[in-house]
Amino acid sequence: MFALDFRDGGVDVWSRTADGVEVARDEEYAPALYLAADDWASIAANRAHVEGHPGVVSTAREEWRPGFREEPTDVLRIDASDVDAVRPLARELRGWERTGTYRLFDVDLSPGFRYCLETGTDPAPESPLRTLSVEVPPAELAGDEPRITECTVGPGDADGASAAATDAVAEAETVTGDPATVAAAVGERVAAADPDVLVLDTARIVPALFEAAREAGVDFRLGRRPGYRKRAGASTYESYGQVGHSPARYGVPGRAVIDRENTFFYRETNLAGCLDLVGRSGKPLQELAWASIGNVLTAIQVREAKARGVLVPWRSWRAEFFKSMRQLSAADRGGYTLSPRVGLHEDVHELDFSSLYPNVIVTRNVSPETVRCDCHADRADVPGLGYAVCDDRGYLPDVLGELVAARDGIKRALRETDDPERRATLSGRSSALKWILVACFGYQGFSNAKFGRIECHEAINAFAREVLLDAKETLEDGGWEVVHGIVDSVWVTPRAGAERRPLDDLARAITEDAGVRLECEAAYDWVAFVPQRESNAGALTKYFGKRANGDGTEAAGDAEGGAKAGDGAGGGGNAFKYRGIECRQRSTPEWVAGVQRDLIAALDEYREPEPVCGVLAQFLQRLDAGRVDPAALAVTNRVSKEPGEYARYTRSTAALDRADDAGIDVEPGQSVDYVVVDDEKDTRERVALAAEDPESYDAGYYRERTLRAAESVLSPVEWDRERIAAYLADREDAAVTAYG
Amino acid sequence: MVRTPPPDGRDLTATRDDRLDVPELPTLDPGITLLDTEKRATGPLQALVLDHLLLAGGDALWVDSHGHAQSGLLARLAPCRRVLDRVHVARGFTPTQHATLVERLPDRVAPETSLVVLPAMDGQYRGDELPTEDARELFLRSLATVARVARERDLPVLVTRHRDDGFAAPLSSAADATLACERTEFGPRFRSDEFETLVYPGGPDGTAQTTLAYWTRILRARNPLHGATAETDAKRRGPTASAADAGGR
Repeated sequence: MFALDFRDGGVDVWSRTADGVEVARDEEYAPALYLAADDWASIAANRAHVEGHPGVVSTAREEWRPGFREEPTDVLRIDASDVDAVRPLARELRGWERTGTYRLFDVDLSPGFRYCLETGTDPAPESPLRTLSVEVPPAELAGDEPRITECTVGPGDADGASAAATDAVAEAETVTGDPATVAAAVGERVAAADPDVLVLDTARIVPALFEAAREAGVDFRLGRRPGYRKRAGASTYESYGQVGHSPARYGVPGRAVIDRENTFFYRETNLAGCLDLVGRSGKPLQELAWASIGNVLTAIQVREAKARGVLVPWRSWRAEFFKSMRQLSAADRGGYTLSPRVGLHEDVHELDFSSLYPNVIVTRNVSPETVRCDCHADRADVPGLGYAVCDDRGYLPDVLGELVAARDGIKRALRETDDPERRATLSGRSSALKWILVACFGYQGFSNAKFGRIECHEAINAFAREVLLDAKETLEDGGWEVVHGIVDSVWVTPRAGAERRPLDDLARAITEDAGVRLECEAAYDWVAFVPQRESNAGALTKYFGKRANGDGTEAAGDAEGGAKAGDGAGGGGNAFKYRGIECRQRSTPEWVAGVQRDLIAALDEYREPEPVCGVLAQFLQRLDAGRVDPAALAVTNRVSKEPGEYARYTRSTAALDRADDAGIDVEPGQSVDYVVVDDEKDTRERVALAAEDPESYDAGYYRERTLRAAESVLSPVEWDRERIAAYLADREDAAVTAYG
Repeated sequence: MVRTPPPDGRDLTATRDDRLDVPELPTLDPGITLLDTEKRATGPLQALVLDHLLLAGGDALWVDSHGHAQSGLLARLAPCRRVLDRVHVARGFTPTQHATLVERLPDRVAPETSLVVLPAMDGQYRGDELPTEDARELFLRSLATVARVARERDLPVLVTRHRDDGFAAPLSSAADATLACERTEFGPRFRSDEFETLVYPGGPDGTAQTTLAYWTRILRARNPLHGATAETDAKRRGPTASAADAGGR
């Protein structure tokens, strides 16, 4: 199975086999929700009323657990006439839902996921899917009624070629013309290629093409049957952190649509990554591509819950237990952080706990139903909090244990293969699992999480703290000094005059102790921790350093990180690592970033502030003389608001006005590139769009930005802004004297 | 309804001129007391709770909303750490969670409970998680439960409002007393229908009154009154201890 269409009260189930595509019609399907009460009698009294509802097909008495902590009890299973009837029905029954009386379950499941869950259908495709992409230049989609005059149809999975998919066409082809001609041409090409998966730049293409065809009276299809379907996002979509107002979703019969504008996993991983999660979450591809991390994590948990006879609560009536202020105080401490010791440290080693939070959950049996269990109420298992953790195996450790093991296996396989296609597949899968594992901890503390529980969140934090603090102690006893520690990693340097145990030894001992693997992540010739601005304390995630010899490629991070803007990209290959400083920030102009990387290289060479300042002075001279290419000074700015919503006339506003003049539509969330040409102005003349190829720039503005970048490099060696300015002034004086 | 512990603290001017060492704080009587402040009431709220526990003994049940139960602040305010073990807090992050916690209150109230605290009691029901009517009804049910606990258990219940508007109006109607806490140039002033007290001269700089340090100082200065219970902290007061009993010592 790879796609589902809900129509006319039934379900079309599309599958790809080795021979082609098959569709099976399921007329019988009736989605089920559940009603529970304190006792069966109060349900029985209302059963006839429920059965009389037009959206209800039938009801049945079944035994389920209303929560992980509860015993099985008799509940009413309500079969609805079709997926679209579930919500209205639930809304009507909601009038009954009160704390302690009636509760509704299995209400807000996405339709495809629900179908697979209730019918035991595996949404993972049996054979490789045929993929096709349809792209439209952004300008074509401006306005409320876009008219598409240019459209490119091409291979669908260009960035993640894998065994799970084949391209439906070999080469991209662009069609142009009036909207009706373009629609007809696209329709023909899609029909000829007959893909299972349509990858769209934006799903807004769908209504636009259909509309153009309708106006011209042309017969048009994108799916394997006529028509398309629009599903309002907000009514069916719940995102992590927020029940959101997401944009409408479009689907076409017989194909899975991936909307590049509205997909986390397809963007962050690839088709193989998505398909891996399709199998684990039970969400069909189209829903999976749409889903947030929390949504997928919830789906995985829902499957586990149902397998254990537990229903899925609609509203989160479950609240935390009372705890003493002292416990809350301990719980509030959060993850372990040791402020980095500001300065340049020689011979630094970074050690990371591998997937610390998931592993803490797995090894400490942290689960919503195990933390503060009734059966061991007198035990204090969680350090600092005094919560008990049940001896019975929790469901969350089981779920995550499987994911951790799967990811370890994928990473192993990745190390053993050079085949690019296989690597792309494995990387995508590893990355997809990484996101789930990364989010599982935060999700526990999220109040609207279906199965989250704040006490789990607190317990995980407390255990993780303990792991880190114990590790710190062992490392210090072993002759090392901890210069930085954050959440799951520690940075050490040899303690002068101490007898040292090798780090590998210590890491092994700590691993054994903690039950979580501590790995030597990277070794550096030196690392500089940057202080926060206006303070001497170290900024937690601002540092740079030089990797030790022979520690370049391997330490470049997670195997799947390759596709992302990596460490040290563009400046001295892989030798340097930059974190949180200007050259890593998207908004920093390319030239300023380059200067900063060169300054870091200079610091590496001289280890003294003066020569670094000398290099800086040369760059500034070029800048002042107007010899820098304005294109390299473009500032990339992500637009967060509509143009009218900015309170002050900023550079961004000026850039937006210019874009508007040029007829370019920049939506919130998109970026605009501009060069500052006269920062004194408060009109649109303040900036020029990068696209306008400006010939000059405001040297004063870029000087300021360059000095800021220089300060990040020099502040660890105790040269602040004044010191740098004084040095530069002296030097300029000297220059004047020399030439004068 | 509200009494001041030092009997001679009625005349505000005299209080300052006589350099009375023990600052005044209102006493919380059984029934719902709405603490009304200009801004978010964390300082005075926490001070009143701690003062009550130190004077009257017993434990507090605190159903939190909108991050009022800042354990760090409370820990720094508290003259002794032990009192923190006597504040039992559970936080509602959604209307349904808040309602569940309130629903549990009648079962949670124990003989040693001497105070129930619900900051921003209306706060969770204002969001858009539930349809407005459902949320309002849930809020009223919660309010009824709280009022019942106060009445049947003869307990002081201290509440605050998230916002002072029509939605929260039932809260002020249900309150047996409203205690306004306002800033004056002489320090925070508590005022109710029949009572008014200036807590303590806040020093020349009026802004200091809202700071943590200010309330810490107030609680420290009230230590002579707390002495009796502070000493018996470890033993935990017996179930029959009443507010009057402890306060009069």
